[in-house]
Amino acid sequence: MALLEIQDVTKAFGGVQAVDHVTLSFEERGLTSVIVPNGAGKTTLFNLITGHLTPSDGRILFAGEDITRLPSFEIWYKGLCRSFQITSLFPSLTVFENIQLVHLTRHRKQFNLFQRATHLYKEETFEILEAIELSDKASMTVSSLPYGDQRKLEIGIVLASNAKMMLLDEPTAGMARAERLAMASFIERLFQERGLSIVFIEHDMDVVMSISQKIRVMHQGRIIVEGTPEEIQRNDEVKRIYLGEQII
Amino acid sequence: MSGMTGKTGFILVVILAALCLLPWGVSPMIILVLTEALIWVLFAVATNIVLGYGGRITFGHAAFFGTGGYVCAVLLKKFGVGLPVAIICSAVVSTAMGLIIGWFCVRLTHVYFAMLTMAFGQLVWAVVYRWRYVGADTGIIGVPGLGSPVEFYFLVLILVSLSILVIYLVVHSPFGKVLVGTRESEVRPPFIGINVRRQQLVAFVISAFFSGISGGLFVVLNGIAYPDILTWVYSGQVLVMCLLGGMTVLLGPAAGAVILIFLQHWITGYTQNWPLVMGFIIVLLVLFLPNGILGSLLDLGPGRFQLPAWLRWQK
Amino acid sequence: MVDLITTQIITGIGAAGILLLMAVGLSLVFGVLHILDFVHGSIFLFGGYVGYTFSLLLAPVGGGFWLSLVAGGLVAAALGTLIEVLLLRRVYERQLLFQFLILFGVVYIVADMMKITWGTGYLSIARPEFLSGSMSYAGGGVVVAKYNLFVIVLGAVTIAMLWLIMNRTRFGLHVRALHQQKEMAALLGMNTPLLRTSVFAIGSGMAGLAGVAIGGLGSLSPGMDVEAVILAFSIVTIGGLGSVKGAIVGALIVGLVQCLGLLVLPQLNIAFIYLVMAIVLVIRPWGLFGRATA
Repeated sequence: MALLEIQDVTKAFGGVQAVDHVTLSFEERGLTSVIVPNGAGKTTLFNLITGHLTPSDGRILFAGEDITRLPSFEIWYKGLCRSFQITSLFPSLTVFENIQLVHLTRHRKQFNLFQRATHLYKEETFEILEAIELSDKASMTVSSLPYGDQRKLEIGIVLASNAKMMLLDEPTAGMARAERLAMASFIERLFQERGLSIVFIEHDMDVVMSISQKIRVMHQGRIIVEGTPEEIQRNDEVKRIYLGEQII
Repeated sequence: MSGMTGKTGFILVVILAALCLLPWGVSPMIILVLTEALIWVLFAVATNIVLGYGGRITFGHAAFFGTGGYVCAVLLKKFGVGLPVAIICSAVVSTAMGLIIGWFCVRLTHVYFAMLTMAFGQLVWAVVYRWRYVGADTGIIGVPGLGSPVEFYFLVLILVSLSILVIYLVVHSPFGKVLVGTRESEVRPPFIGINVRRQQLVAFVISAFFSGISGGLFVVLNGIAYPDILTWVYSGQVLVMCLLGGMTVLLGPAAGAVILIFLQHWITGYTQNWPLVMGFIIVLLVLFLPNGILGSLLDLGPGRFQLPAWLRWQK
Repeated sequence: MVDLITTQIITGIGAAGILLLMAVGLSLVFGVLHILDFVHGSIFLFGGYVGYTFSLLLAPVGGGFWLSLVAGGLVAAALGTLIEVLLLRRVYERQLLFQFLILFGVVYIVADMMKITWGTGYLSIARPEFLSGSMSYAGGGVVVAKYNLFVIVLGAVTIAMLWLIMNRTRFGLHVRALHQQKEMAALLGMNTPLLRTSVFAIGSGMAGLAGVAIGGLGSLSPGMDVEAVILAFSIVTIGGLGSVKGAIVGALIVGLVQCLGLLVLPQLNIAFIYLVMAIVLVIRPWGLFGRATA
C-alpha cells in the first residue's frame, strides 16, 4: 500500500491553477523525486501535503488516514515531515539546540514547565548531529554557520523527526555545483543506512538522475510522466519541456 | 540564553544577601524606593516572558498589572480580606484576563498582535476609568498596608525572589525552549509539531499571573489604586525597563527596573523634568544600546548573547 | 428627538473633522513609510500650542486665527521633519519594537518640552467673531455651532487638497509609487528619503492643523497628545492601516459614535471605541479598507 496518497488534488489561487487535479502515490521505503521546471506548483504541492495550505479539491491520505484538513503540527505527529527550500532554522540557537528542540516536541514536552531542559535528550541529539556530520559544531549558533552546513542542519531536523516519510524541498537550493552532488550522495547514504522514505523536489537534473529510484515530472500543475531515471532520460516530452524552458 | 553557571549563581546569592541586610544600613526612604523597584522587577521580568522569550510585542501589559492592583485594592479595602488571599486573588483574576485577552491576541501576526494588546489595554482602562464601584477616575484610596516599611520590604523581597525563581525554571524548561523556538522562526515551528498559538498563549497567561501579583503589591505599597496603572504609560515604562536592562537575559529587565526606578527618584529630587531625561535615555538606548545594559555586558563574551534574530535589522 | 439626533450627528461629523485630519495623516504615514507614528498626537498638540502663541502675538494686529492655522500647520510639519530626519531614518529597517520605543521616548521629550514652554493649564485659541456662536435650522430644533461647520469645511478642503497633490502632481505620483513598491521606486531613481520626509511632513502638518482647530474649539492641555494618538490609532485600525479612504470613513464612524454615544451611554463612550477597535482587529485586522497582506 502506498504510504502517501494524493488523490485528485487541486489548488487554485484566484484564477491560477497552481496544482491541477494531481494524483500521486508514494511507496514506503522509496527514494522518489519530483522534478519541476520553475513555477510549476511544486512548493504549493508540498504546502498542500504538509498542511500549510488546504486544497480546493481532492484528498490526501497518509498511512491510510485522511490528513487533508489537518493543521501542520498534527501532520508532523502522524509521521510526515518536510524540509524547506529557503532555510528555516532557529538562527539564534545553537546547532545542538536546533536538533534538541525536535526531540522535545517529539516526546511532547512542549508544555513541560518544570524539567531542566539544558541536557535533555543529549545522546539522541548528538546521534543525529553525528549523522549529519555537525557534532563538532554543536555549540555554534546557526547564524554563524556556513550555508552548506545550514542545509545539512535542515536535513538534520527532518532526520530527528523520526518521520515515516520525509519531504525535501529542493535540498540543494542555493548550493554550488560540487556541493550539490555531495548533498545528493549524502541524502542517498542516509537513505541506504536508515531505510527511510524520501520524496524530494528538485530542479537539478544531475542530482535527480544520480540518486532517485523513481522520478515524476511535473509541468503546469500536473504530473506528465513517471518512471525510472533511464525511462525519463529517453522521454521526448520531458526533453521538450525541460530544454525548451532552458533555452528561454 | 544559557543556564546559570556557578559564577552567576554566586553573584546572585551575594546580591540576595545584600538585599536582606540592606534595611539595617539605609534610610527608610531608600527602603520604600527599593520595594517599589522590586515590584517593578517582577513586572518587568514577567513581561519579558512574552517580549524577550516569546518574541511578541505587548503594548497592553499594564492591563494585568492594573487589574491585579485593583482586585487587591477592592479586596483589602472593601472586604477587609487578608493580604495573602488578596494577592492570590489578584493573580487569579489577572491570569483569567490574560487567558481571555491572550486567546484573541495569539491569533494575530506581529503588528496586529501588538495593536490588539494596546486596544485591550485601553479598553480595560476605559471601563475602570468610569466604573464608580472602583472609584472611577479617582481610584481607590486608603488601601491598608502591611506593617512597617521594612516588614513589607521583606515580604516583597521573598515573593519577588520566589517568583523569579519560578520564572527561571519555566524559561529553562522544555516549554521555555519551545517558546523561544516560536520566536526564532516564523515558518519552522508548526513543522516540528509546535502549536504556535497555544505555546504563545501559555506564555501570555504565565506572564499575566506574575504581572498581576506585582500589581497587587504595587497598590499595597502606595496605598492607592488609580486608573493610570492601566494605561499605556505603565505598559510603555515596563517595555523601557526591558530594553534598558536587556531583553535577551532573564534578569535584564530586573536590572532595567532597578536602574530606572532609582534614576527616577534621584532625578525627580533635582528637577521636574524627569520625562525629558527618560525620553532621551530611551532614544539613546534604541540607537546605541539595543541589547540593553546587561545584554551588552554579557555580549563582551563570545558573542553568545548577540541580538536575537527577531530583534535584528529586518529587510 | 429627531432634532437632537440631527444636532448630535452634525456635531459628530464636526468632531470627525478634527479626527479626520489626524487619522488621514497617520494612515498616509503608515502606508508610505510603514511606521506606526506614535508621536502623531504630540505633534497635534504641539501645533495647537504654536497656534495659540501665534494668535496671542497677532492679537493686536488681527487675522490671528487664520495665521495661527497656517503657522500651527507649518511649524508642526517642521517638527515632524526634524524627527524624521534625525531619528526615524535610523529605525526604518529595525523591528517594530524599536520603532515604537524610540517614538515613545520622543513623546516624553516633546511632552515635557511643551509643558516647560506652555505650562500645565488649559489654553484656548481665540476664534474670529463670525465663527463663534451657532446657527439654527428646522425652526430652531437643530442647533449647530458655526465652528463645527468650519471644522467640517476645513477637513473637507484639506482632504481635497491632499487628493489633488496625490493624484495630479508628479510628487503625488512618486508617493503613490512608493506606497506600492518601495524597492521599485528607488530603482526608478526617485529620491526615496526625500519623499519619505515629505510625506511625514505632510502628515505632521495635518496633525498640527487639527491641533489649532481643536484649540479654537476647546482647550489645549498636557495629556491630550496621548489621548489623541490612541484615538487616531483606533480610527485607522477600523478604517484600515494605510488606507486614506479608510481613515476618512473611520473618522466619521468614530466621531458619530462618540457623539451619539453621549446620548445613549455616556459612561462607556470611550470604552466603546476601543471595543470596536478590538473587534475589528479580531475579525478583520486589516480594517474596512486595508489590504489583507499587510
